[in-house]
Order: sequence, then C-alpha cells, then structure tokens
Amino acid sequence: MSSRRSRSRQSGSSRITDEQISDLVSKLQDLLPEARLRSNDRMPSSRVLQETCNYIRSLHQEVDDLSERLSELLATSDMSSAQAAIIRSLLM
Amino acid sequence: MNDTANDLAELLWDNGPALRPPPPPFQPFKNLMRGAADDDGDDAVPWLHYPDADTAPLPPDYCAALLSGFSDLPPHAAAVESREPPCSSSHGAPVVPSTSAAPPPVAKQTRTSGDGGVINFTFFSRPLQRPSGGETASASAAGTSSVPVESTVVQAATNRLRSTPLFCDQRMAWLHPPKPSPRAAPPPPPPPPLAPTTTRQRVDTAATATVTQRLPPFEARAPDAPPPAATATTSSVCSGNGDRSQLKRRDDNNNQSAEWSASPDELDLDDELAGAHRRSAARSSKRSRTAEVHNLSERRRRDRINEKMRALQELIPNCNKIDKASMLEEAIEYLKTLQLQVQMMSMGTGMCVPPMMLPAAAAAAAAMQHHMQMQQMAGPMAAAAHFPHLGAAAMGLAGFGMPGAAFDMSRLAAAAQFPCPMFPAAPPMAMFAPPPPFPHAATTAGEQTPSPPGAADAGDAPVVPPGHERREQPKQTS
Repeated sequence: MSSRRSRSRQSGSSRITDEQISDLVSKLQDLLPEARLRSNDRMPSSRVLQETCNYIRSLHQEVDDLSERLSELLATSDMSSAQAAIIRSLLM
Repeated sequence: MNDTANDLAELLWDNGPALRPPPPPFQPFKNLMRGAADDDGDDAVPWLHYPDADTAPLPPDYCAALLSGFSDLPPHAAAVESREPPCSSSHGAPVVPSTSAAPPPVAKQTRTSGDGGVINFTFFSRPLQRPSGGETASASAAGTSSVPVESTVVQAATNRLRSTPLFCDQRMAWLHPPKPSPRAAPPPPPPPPLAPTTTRQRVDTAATATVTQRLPPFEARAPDAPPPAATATTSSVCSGNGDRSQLKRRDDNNNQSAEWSASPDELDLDDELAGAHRRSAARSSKRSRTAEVHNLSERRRRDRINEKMRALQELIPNCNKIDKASMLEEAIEYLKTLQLQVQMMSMGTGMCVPPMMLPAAAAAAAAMQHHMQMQQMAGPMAAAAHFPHLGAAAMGLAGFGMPGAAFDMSRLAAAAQFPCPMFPAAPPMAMFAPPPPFPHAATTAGEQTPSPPGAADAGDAPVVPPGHERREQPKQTS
C-alpha cells in the first residue's frame, strides 16, 4: 500500500508538471510554422519537440545565411558608419 | 485433566508467540497417550469422553471445512497447504497448531485402531493408518463400514499428502462425520503430543511435510511408522480447513484437549487471513499487470519526450536547466529570439538595408498593426534580454536617432508571430522611409520603391524619439 501511495503521490506531482509542460508544449507548438497551419489538432508533445528541434535548426541555418549576406552587404555597400554598426550588431 | 488443561493453555501459548510451552504439554500428552495406547485401544476414551465415532467425525469436519475453503481456492492452494503444513504454521501460528494437533490425533487413532480397532479410532486411524499401514485401516473398516469408506479416502489423501484434490474429496467425506467429531474426545489426546512436535516444526517454518512426518514418529514412539505420514496429511488438511472446520474444531477442542481448541481458533484466523491474502494477491496481480502495461507505454512515451528534450537542450545555447518546464520555457524564448533575429537580419539584407529604412517600415507597420505590436511588446523585450546582441542592435538603432527602433522591436515581435509580414510590409515602409534622420536612407528608399500615397503620416512618426514613440504606441494602440 505504501508503495502505491507513494506512486500516486509521484504521479500527482508529475501530473502538475505534466499540465505545465503540456501548456508549454502548446505554446511551443504555436511558434512552429508548420504546426500553426494545423493548429486545430494538437500534436503529441514528442512530435512538437521534434518539430521544434527541426525548426530551431532551420532557423540557425537561416541566421547563418542571413549573416553571410549581411556581411557581404557590409563589404560591398558604402554605408554610413551608423548603418555599418547596425549591420554589425545584427551579425553578432 | 488438570494437566491437560495446563497443556491446553500451553498449547494456546504455542499457537501464539511462544513455542516453548509446547514441549512440557507435549510430554504429558505423550505420557497420557502412551498410557492410553498401552492400556487399551480406547486410549481416546479417557481423553475424550465422547465415543470413538465422535472422534472420527471430527476429522471429516475439518476436511469438509477444508473442502469448502478449497472450493473457493483452486487445488493449488489446497495442495500448497497440504504440502507445506509447516510453512503455513510459520506464516500463521494458528494454522500450524491446528494441523499439528490434527496429525497427532490421527497417529493416536492409528495406534488405537491397531490396538482395538475401535470405530472412532478407525475414523481417525484409517486415514492415518492407511498411509502408515493397511492393517490399521482394515481394522478400522471392520469397526464401522460407513466410516471406513471415508477414512479410506482420507488415508489415500494422507498418503498422497501432495495431491490436494484427493484431500478435498476426502474432506468432503469427512464433512458428514465432522459433527460427531466434536464428540470424539479420544482424538484430542493424541494430538497434544503431536502438536508439540508440530509446533516445534512450525517454529522451524522451513520444515515441510517431511518434517512433520519425522515428528509423527517421535510422537508415535508408537509402532506405526505410517501414522506419522497420516498425521502430516491431517495437519495439512487442518490448515486448509475453512472457518467451518475451525468451528468444529473448537467444539472438538472443548470436548477434546485444549490444544485442539487453541489451534482451531488460530487456524480459523489463519485461514481467513490466508484466503484474504490470496484473493487480494489475485486482484493485485491483475491490477499490477494492467498497471505494468500502462507504465511501460507511459515510460516509452516519456523516454521519447526526454530524448527530444535532450536534443532540444543541445540546440539551445547556455541552457543549463534541468527540469522540463524551465527547459521548455527556455526553448520557447530561444525560438522567439531566433525568429526575431531572422526577421531583423532578413530585413537588413532583404531591404539592402539602410537601417533608416527599417524605422520607416517599422512606423508603417506600427500604424498598420497597433494591436499586434501591443501584444508583442513584452515578448521582444524579453527576447532582447535573452539575446544581448539583438538588444544591442535595437539600442544601436535607437542611438542613431532611428525612431523606428522601438517599432522595430515590436514589429519583429509581430513578425515572430506572423513570419511573413515583414517583407510584404517592408516595401511600403521603404516608401515612407525617407525619414528625416538619414537623408541618405530616404533617397535610397525612394529609389528602391515607389512611395505609396498616404505614407506621409507614417513618415512623420519616425521623427519622434524612440522613448516617446514607445509611450505613444500604447496610446495609439489602445
């Protein structure tokens, strides 16, 4: 009995975090472009996490590409020091 | 009788906590038994005021009780009990004693039967005797035809101590006799001696049927080796007996020796407890099975999620959060900042970016998306905090007198929510762009995109210092 009780206690506490986590996962899902398209149905949290990982990777890739382009811009264009500073700040 | 009473008390104690008491009573009983046996086959008579027939019935009752109990419990339980009388005793003191008590009587009976072939003895003895030797059984049979049949069955069962089903049948036969059993005082006397031995064995707990068998010999001192086996069987039966058997035993005990009475009560309790345990075990096993299946699937799911969480953690820089919730919060913030960053960078590159254009675009966007901005304001700032360099960029914009910096942030936030808006919105903004601060930018903007009409309003906005704009935005949006 004691084991069962402790188990229920654990599950109870984990349930609370489960709610929090499901809440956060739904927020995360809202940030996903492809998930937004079918926001009607909720994806399983593992799927959301997977999609999040993929999305973050794609964003990283995009940031890299953009920083590359910005650096090119910085090199080619004759910009004011202010503009250059801004772009540099973006590239950081 | 006084001695017997003492013995009984001792026996009771034995059943309970202490095993020590048994020995003393045991000896007396043995003496009595010996005396009875030596004197006559009627040994039982002195002990039991009731006739032999009564004694014989008692065992049957036990059997019946056992059977009833067994009916609920499959043969396994019965078999287990029969096989492991000692164990049962160890688990539950009461059960053991009863079993032990039962065996002894049998042994005595067998002896008695051998001596006089009394019917009463025959009942008990038959089962006992048969295992030990056919002689006693035959004698008992001669004594009472009806009884003998039952006894024979019992004997077979006793012989096959291991085969529970047989016992059940035998017990059934016994059931009829049981009523008389209480009367049979004789059987009790024999039990006492056996009981002590049995109690000792029980103490050992580990001792099995074999142990009980060994004990019987001790008790028996009497000639019949087989009786011990029979006693063992009887003991098993007793343990198996249900409440009914216990009740009968109690009656018997009253008639017979204190040992019996004591043992029955204990036995009853033990039996009930044992039954409850078994039932609960069965239920719990089912529950546990379903629970295990559920736990397995749940565990797999959690493992999968944890795996993804770990992957996510690797993707998030400086994420030392251990618990899932904060991990997810971190991931959400990081995702937002990443989206913001991408928006800003794409703005910079896509527009060929003279920064001044950004402010203008931001102003236009602000005009067009007040609500969105308002909602997003909090987000962007948090993102800036998360990503210092983004914040620095914003600061840089503001520092350059780009009123749009604040707007930018809000705009980016909005963009974060709506990935696409940035670029579509950008062209119009470029038109307004000719913001005062950077004439150059204005020119570039004008060159890049035709200025849409009505952009003028937006263009004015940028002039306002960032701080003011921020304050104003809320007002506008509100």
